[in-house]
Amino acid sequence: MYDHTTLPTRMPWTSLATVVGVTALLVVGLLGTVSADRAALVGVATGVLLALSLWLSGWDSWQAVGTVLASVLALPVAVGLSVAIGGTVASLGAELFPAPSQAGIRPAVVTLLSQVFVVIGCLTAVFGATAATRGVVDTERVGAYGGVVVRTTAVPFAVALVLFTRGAVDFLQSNAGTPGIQQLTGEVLSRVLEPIFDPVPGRTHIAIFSLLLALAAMALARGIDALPLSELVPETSDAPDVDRAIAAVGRTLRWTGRLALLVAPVAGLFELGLGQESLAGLLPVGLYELIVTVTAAPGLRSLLWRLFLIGTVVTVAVWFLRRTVQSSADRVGTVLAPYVGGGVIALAVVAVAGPAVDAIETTLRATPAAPAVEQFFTPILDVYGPETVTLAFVVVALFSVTSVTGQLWVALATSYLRERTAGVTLAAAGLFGASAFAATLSTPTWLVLAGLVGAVVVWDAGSFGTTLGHEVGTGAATRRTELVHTGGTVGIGGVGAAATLGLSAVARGSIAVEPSVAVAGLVVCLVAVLSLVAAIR
Amino acid sequence: MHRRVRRWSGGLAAALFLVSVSLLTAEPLLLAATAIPLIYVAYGALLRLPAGTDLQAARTVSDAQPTPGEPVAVELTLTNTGRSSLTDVRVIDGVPEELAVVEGSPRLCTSLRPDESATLSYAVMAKRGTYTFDAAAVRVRTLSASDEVTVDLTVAGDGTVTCSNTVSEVPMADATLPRAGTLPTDTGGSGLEFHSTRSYQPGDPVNRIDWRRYAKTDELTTIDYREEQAVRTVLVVDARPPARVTPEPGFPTGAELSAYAAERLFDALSRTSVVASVCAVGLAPEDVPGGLGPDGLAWVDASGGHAAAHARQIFDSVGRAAARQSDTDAAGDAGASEDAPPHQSRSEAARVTTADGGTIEDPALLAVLARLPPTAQVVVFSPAADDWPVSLVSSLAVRDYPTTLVSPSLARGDSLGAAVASTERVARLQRAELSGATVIDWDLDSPIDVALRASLADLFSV
Repeated sequence: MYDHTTLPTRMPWTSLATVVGVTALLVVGLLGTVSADRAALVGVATGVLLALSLWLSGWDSWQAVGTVLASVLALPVAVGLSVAIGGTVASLGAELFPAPSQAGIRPAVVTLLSQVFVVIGCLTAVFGATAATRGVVDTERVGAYGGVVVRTTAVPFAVALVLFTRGAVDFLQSNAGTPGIQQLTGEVLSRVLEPIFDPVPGRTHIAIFSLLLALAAMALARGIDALPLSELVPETSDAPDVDRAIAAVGRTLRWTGRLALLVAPVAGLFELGLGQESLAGLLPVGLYELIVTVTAAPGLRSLLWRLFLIGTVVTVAVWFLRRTVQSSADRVGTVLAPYVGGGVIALAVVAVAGPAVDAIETTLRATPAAPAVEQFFTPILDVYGPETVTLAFVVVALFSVTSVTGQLWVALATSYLRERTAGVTLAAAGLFGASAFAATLSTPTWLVLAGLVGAVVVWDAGSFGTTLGHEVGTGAATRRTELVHTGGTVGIGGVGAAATLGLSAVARGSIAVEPSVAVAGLVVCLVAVLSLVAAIR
Repeated sequence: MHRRVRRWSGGLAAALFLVSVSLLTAEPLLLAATAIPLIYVAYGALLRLPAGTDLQAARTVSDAQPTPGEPVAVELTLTNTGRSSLTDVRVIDGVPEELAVVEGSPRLCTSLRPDESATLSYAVMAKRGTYTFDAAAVRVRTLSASDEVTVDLTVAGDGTVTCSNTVSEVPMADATLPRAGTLPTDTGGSGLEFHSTRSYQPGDPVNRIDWRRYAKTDELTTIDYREEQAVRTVLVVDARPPARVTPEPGFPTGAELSAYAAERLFDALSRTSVVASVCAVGLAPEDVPGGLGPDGLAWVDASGGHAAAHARQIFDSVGRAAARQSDTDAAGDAGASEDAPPHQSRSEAARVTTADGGTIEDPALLAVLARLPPTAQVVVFSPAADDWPVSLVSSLAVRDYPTTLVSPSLARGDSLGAAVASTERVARLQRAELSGATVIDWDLDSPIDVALRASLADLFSV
């Protein structure tokens, strides 16, 4: 039989229906045990969205569109992930704390953690089952999606960084008068920034002015060089000789820059070494006053700074455009799309920052963390503003998506997760974990056992179906075998569940004697080791 | 081949996970629940394929000698002759690689009780040549899918599909001339069939004087018989890359169908002793045994020895070129340009005038025109997928060659592309007809013999 067949590896419909149906039933049952309904529902939706994003990022026929959508969906996925976990913690925290007594803290923590794990498990299960329908979890696709999320995060991260830096600088400068470390930092900042943008009037500042002039001239020269001015002028005999004019301007700017760069240290030496009086004595009065006026003018400084920025921006933009036109449209779309998506996300976040921050604050105030809100959150909000804070939240959430994607990629790249069965394995693992943690809540025993057996059935039906699809294709009639196989697995699971109930009844009788439970555990471990040996053999 | 698949060992990790959560949360149910993953581990480890597993397979083919382009239904019956039930039997029939499966799937997965059978039905598209089915690959698994055996199962019954034409099948005799190797013309002279009478002219052969008339009327009259000239027929097969199109995967290409039609006609003409030459255009040197001629054409003259064998080689070469084309399709147009015949230099390429006054500089076209004997009938076989055959036909018309264009219709299906291609082809055929050629539009649903018979009578009775 050909193991290198190129048939599509999609699993047959019966297996797929088993995977999706069992997962859906168990997720509904398990989420019923979680008190934080809304967060749980958001978690389920996030699982579906994450699978959809993965599919979109590998959409070959509409690569650019798929990348844009995956990039824009990164925000709902990130927010959903945060809300599912954070929301569960917050809503249960409000419910369970403060604990009535010291002894009540441990059970409360266990309940809280169990519910969070049930939500995470269900999210993973929904993601895995959804991904398994199209077989979208593979190294290449996950890598591509990771790249999209990282590039999407770049813009909000940069904007958040700029806003944060501005807020920090403003805050520290405003604190120059207050004692302590803030005063020191504020003074240092004032000392660095004031001579550049707001010099002391009535004296010369030739050195710093020359440096600024050199920077602005060099940047402008580079910008003019980069612009395709001569290409834009028609090649007719009566057209103006633009080339020569541009070359002259460029040369002048470059020489101005070099000259200013040479003047700066010399002037600095003179200014520091001789002092203002000697300098005034050396130079004619008119010239000295002119130099004082020019070099100390804040407006001129600001103009030079802006010219420097414009030159740099033009150079970078033209370089980027030149690279862009050399690439194919699809490639450009794919590469640019995440940045555009990131830009859209940043704008959207800035637009809804106020209400969002209010909502977060209200939610947090309802939890036992209310004093911390008062102590930390409100002052931060006062200093940095709601936009920066919301952007920071979003960036952290996007980083969490990047981290999840990265972990998935590592698991796939190291073959801990096989590409072919990754979706069903994740679904089964999620269901198994959720069922195990649901056992510690007030979940009926049948649901826990059904969850554990169902998780195995999901994995078995999925991996069996995938192998079947790989070997005989979806065009062949396979339903009978699939049903027989799944029936066998369910039957064995039934035997396992009966054994569990029997063992559990024995354990319940001996629950008063704790060491006996430990002995039972040891016996089970022994059986596990023996089975391991048998399986390896 | 026997193989153990360790697909349940993950149960141990699951058991350890349950033990950990149980200890962490002091939940005894989870400790007891380790029985579930462990029982699955045991299930995977203990289940084995029963000894004495035995399967038998038999294959039937609906038509072992189909015509090209005809779907052939194949049925493979698998029977469990062992004593135990087999829950998971997967079988893949050994379909020859060259034949495309056009309906159903040659793969099956089923469960079989003792003495139970399962049948696998599919259809393959017939292509020229003889194809032998391989043994069926069978894989049997246990219910837990942790133990498997893979074997190549020898299949009883039909094992070969032969798709070729033999000379004895040719129904062409009645479509060609009753007099072998000659073409009757409208000029009177020596011959067998009466044409006309005329006044005697000094020098007329004595045996053609109508002596009876002389006896009655005392006038010398000469009888003219219908002159019969020996004629050559040249069959030109268009095997250029544009002609190697196929309406659907597995279906013969236009070039292959053209070669097939040419082969049928060549066999018929050989039987009637017509001097027939075969020429294939657009083959690469590696396709033809012995390479191409210096002008880039694969040409076989009837005058040479073993002409029939050489002609058959050329027809086979067209099939080879088409197979190579489908292999290199992924390489894009690069492959197509390689297939073009060796081009003559532009300076050599004289301009050719067509019927509508245009000029052509196609090297393959020029080579055909240069190689054609001065008196010949030309039959062009082409799917008319581009304008080349029309140019050839109109160039031939300018030179007064009696020309026939046989064109297999490739358009199948209702897609927009097929409709456009079909319309373009019809327009080309009309242009060919307007330039003076006889056009045979071969609808693939009817045998080529029918189409040829309908038109060949015209061709051989100018």
